[in-house]
Amino acid sequence: MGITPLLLQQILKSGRVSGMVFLLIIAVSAAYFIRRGKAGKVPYLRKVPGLDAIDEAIGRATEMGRPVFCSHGIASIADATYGPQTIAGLAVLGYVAQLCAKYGVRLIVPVRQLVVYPIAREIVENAYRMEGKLDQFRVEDIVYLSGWQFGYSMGYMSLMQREKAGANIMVGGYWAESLQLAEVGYMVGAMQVSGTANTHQIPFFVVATDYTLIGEEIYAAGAYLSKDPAMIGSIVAQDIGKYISIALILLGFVLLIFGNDYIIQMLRW
Amino acid sequence: MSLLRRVEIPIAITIIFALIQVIPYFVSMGPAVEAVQDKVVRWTLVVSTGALLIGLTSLLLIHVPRVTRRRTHWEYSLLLIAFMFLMTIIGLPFPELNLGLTGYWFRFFYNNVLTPLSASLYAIIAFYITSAAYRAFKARSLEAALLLISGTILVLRNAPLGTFLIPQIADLGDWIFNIPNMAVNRAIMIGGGLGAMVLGIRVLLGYERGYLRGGE
Repeated sequence: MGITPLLLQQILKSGRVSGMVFLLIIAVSAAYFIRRGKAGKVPYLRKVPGLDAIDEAIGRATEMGRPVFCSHGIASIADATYGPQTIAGLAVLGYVAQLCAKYGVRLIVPVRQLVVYPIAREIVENAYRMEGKLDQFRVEDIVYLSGWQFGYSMGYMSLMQREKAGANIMVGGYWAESLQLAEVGYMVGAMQVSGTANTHQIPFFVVATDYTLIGEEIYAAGAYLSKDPAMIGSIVAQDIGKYISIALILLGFVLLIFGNDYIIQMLRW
Repeated sequence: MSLLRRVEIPIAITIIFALIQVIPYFVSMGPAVEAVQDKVVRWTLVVSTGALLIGLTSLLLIHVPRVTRRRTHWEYSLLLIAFMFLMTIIGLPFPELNLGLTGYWFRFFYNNVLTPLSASLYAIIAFYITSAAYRAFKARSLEAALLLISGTILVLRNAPLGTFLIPQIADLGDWIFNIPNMAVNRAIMIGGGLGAMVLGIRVLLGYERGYLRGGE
């Protein structure tokens, strides 16, 4: 017995079908381009100055003999909406930790979410292990500051001032504390690279830090920094999603001019 | 490599639990699967609570040596440790002793220490905005000039004096806020949503390992 439309209607949740179809298209595209990447067909990836500047920031801090600060935002990793930003921030932390271990520069990681603390600690510890410098790993530099938003920002600001940060790399979900951290980073003379997908905080980062990763750039950071062909391949799926979105917006716009709301209805399936 | 340190196990756990959340979101799978889905969400709460001990250890690891070795500003560390234990004790659920989250002492410290501190720290942002704006609002390039012009219009639009002196500034400010600003915001949100989606797929496929000990 085949699957009848009625049965499909009973199985699929109303209002989520278009989202599921979109997700499947992106997932299949990502899987396809990952395979292509693994086969050596690596797509062209434009330069992201903010990510390239991480090396420069760490190099500068090393020359100045000052510590590097790297945070992954204040969102919980378990949060369905903002958690991906923390995952993206942790990918950047892995890269930063590896460079800090390589150059022998002190790395301080301020943490707000308790659940993220052991992950951040493991990432940094492993980076030092991989560089053969486990003896230089300082567990007390992975600092849990406070679960309270402003307690965290206060602790972060004090740490930057006390330790005279040479570089401050902030990639993840940030809210009202973004400008406080960025301004104090500027005041202590740290080279700063920031990035968030929270649109209301992007302007603060843009005006107060040296380089800013905007929205989707933070999610591509892990792939970009890893230079893994398979990971880079997956970024093409983002572009495919963009093309579909642009096509839907234009089509919906034209159809609406003629009084047809078919695209809106379709997206509500 | 020991079994516990193998990266495949956490990847498998991630994939299984992610699928438990993702599939029932789109497809009706019956009450049994939905009960499992609900239970998994509760597990995250349990794990979060267990992580409290890690936070406590981390704080003590940093602040106790600072106090015992009398390092710079050790008094603040002592204050932090004292308040941490004080708040824990007065937060214990013993209503007969006026303790607990609704008890007198917890509310006293919450309303008279935490709330004013939060408000003060939030207010500091106003000064930081001024200093950041002073640096940013310099017409050094076309983009900076646009930022300067639109920023000035919006400042005037939000200040009572601005709309009093130039009434048209209200409409212009609203237009900037609702049209170009909203368009860019939505574009960034669509891009961010797609980025998060692809990141999730990479996690599900086991390629994104940044959250697992740096991926090795």
